[in-house]
Amino acid sequence: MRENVRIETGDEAAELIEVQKKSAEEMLQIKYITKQNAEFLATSGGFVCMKFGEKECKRIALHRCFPFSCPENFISVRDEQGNEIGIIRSLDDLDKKTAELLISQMEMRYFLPQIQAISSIKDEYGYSYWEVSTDKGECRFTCNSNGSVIRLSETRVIITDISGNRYEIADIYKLLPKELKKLDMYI
Amino acid sequence: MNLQYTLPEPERLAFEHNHPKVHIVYCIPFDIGEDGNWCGDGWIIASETNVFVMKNKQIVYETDIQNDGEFECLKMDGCGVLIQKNESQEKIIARFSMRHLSRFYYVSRGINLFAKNRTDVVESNEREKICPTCGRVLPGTSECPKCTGNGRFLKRIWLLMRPYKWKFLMISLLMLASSGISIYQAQFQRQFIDDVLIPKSGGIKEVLLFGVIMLLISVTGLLSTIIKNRWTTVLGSKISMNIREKLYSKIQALSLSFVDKRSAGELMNRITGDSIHIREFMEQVFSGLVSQIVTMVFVFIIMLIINWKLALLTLALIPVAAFISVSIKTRIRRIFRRQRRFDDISNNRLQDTLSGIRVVKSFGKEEMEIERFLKINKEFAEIQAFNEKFWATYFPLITFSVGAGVHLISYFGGLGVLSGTFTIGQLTQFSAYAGMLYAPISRMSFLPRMIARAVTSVERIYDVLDEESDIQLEESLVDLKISGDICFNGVTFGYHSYEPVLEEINLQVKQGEMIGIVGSSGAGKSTLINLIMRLYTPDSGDILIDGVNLKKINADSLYSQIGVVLQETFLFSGSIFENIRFSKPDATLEEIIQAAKIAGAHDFICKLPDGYNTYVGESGNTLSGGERQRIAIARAILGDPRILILDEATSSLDTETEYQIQEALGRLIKGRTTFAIAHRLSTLRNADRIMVIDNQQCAEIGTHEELLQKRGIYYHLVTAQLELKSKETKLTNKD
Repeated sequence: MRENVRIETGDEAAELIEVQKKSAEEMLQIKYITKQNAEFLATSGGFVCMKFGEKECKRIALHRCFPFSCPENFISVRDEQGNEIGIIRSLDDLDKKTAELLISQMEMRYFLPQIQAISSIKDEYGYSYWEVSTDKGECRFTCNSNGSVIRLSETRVIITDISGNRYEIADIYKLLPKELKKLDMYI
Repeated sequence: MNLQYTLPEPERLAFEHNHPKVHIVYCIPFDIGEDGNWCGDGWIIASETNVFVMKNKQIVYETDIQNDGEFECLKMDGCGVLIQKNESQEKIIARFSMRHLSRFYYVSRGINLFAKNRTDVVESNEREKICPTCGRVLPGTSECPKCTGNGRFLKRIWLLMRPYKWKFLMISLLMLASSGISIYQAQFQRQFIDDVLIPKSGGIKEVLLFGVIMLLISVTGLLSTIIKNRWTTVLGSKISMNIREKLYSKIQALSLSFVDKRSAGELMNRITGDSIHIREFMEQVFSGLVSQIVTMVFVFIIMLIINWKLALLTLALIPVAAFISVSIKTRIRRIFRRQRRFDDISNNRLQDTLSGIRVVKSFGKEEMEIERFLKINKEFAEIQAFNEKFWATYFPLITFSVGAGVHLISYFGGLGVLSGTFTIGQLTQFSAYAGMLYAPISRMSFLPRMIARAVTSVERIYDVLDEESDIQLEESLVDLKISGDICFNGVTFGYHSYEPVLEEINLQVKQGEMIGIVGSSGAGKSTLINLIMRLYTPDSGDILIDGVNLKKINADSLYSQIGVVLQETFLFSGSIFENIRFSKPDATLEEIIQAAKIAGAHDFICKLPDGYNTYVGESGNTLSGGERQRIAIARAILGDPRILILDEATSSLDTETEYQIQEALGRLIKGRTTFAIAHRLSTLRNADRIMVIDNQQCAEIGTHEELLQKRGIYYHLVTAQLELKSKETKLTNKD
């Protein structure tokens, strides 16, 4: 049976290997997207499509490489299958209109309400019930009492509720002292 | 999970005004508006023909399910969007937070079924996380323990207690007796003071008698306390053992889809943690509470009889003492919780650095790690010092505030004695009773917490006990002597109903045939064999063995005729002998040796000093991967199974061992229907037919040659693996 296979394989197999080699090489390169080599367009349905060299993509997905520390730089642009088309080093590399379009697209992709004030945190039998105001409006959510609040840095805190929604406090020292005191139990 | 919300009244009226005759099949909310802010008034409403988007009581979008394209739920970062897509465009219909993500998965799948002219309605057996009525978190149960009311809780706790009702009665009586004794003790003391000491009317005989009687009373009290404590402890462990037994056997009986929905840790928690909560509740709250309340009532009545004014004053002080005690305790709990959290953090850091010490040292970052640790350590020490100071100051305050009432009584009682309305004996008795009235307060402040915990635990226990196994135990189950024909008729299955893993699988396997299953990881290969093993039931379609529906075959009869070898060999703690015998507990020693011989395990087992009695398991003899695998194979064939399932049985072994085990398996599969999953295609060289699973479906099936000629997926897999191998050989030759 094995010999059988050997007869069957030949140029085609070599071709296949060649294709894979090529894609492996491509994987290692960083391709930067600028206004010279790419064109972005809003679709009527609310997404963004893109032309990049010969490639065309009907719906791109924008992933921030550093969503907290550097949200406007190093944005990975991916196609429908999740393969990377290229990276935008800085939104300044694109014209202003395109940059705005991409920012609004990223705002649709990322939902991370910023907590601006804490009205109350109630703790009851292993769960904490939060009432906060965020940049997206007032909201209530529920967390596990333990392990839901993660301190990313000295000032930044990320809170994950039981549904998997996340909330950010970019600088906890900007909260009022009484709000910080409520938060204190969890960090 | 609710996919059919009831629209709020204004929304409902507005909708019915515009679409009076629409029958709503799905109705779910979305909570992010077009401006990217939270919104509370967005609804997606679907009938069998149309989908409506409602916002601010107005229908803002309406679409035809048949003609306007199919729906898809896309997961973003921290949110999701519902889109509708056709050839010309993809349109965003609604945006929602993670709270509604799986709801939208289900509903978009449901709507797409209507587009395919199917009328079945998708249901979700996922649990809601938050009680829709009270907003509290559901403790992994289908109903909210808070909202179902105390009646159900009492009924259920009674069910758990019922087998021990006489024991409980005895304990309660004993408790009453012991409180009766302590009440009497104070009474006796008063008589002695007032009748003997004050008038100085007795001699050494009376004093001695008093001493002896007091001693007897104390000893009786002591004995009854000891007996009571011993009984409650025994009873408590019996009850929790009983609960654990029930839970364990229920979990074993439930199908994997129940177990899958919960983590192993959560189930363990229910078996151990929840049964402890119930035991504590029974021991402390139930038994203690009854006798304490009765004692308090009696004590108070006697106090009223002696001096009603002073009795009422004593009563009035209880809420004050309770308030002080509860508020200090709440504060103590809060600050110590923070300390525990910090303790965790510093422990985690310590563990991180110690277990990662190679990394730290090899990058030369010791200084940095020391600095980081010192910082956390210092903060922890500060918190600890603060808390201990707080504790040291305020805990005595609790004791004081609870006991302070007694001083007031001494004052007013003392005045009474001076004015002659009160005897000294009565004052002593009164103070003793006041102490008995105040003492439980501090303990009772834990009551609400303990009751709440017990309510939750009972709910979680019954949540498991009430669960119905989704593999139905039909009465017409048959014992089947399997010969090995297997047939899949349009089998569709998914772990979540919105996400099918296998769709419309049709397959005929003849008795004795070996089917190799290949496909990329996550394609559904293991799912397919899980269905054959009946660990899950298909969502639609049937699996037939020898023409009999799998559902109708008696479980014992089925499992005794299926042998399984998995990639990860699991050996129980115990001897090799016990591990092999696991599949057929009544196997003779000859049968076990025979099975081990076929599996190629006999030789190495004989060379072990303890032979078949060699202990394997966590701390036992460490066997190599190949040896463990051979024991697993012996276990699989011991029962002479008619159907054999090999799930990557040899993939974790080196080439030489794999070859040997393949040989063993080759002997084994003769005459048995075999399903073998493998990544290395050479493993499947004995297969009669090979099935390629791709895109949830059986993409290709046929003999090795047929599939090669087809030049499809299998052909590509084979060529790629062969090239890779020849490259490896070249490399080794160069070396």
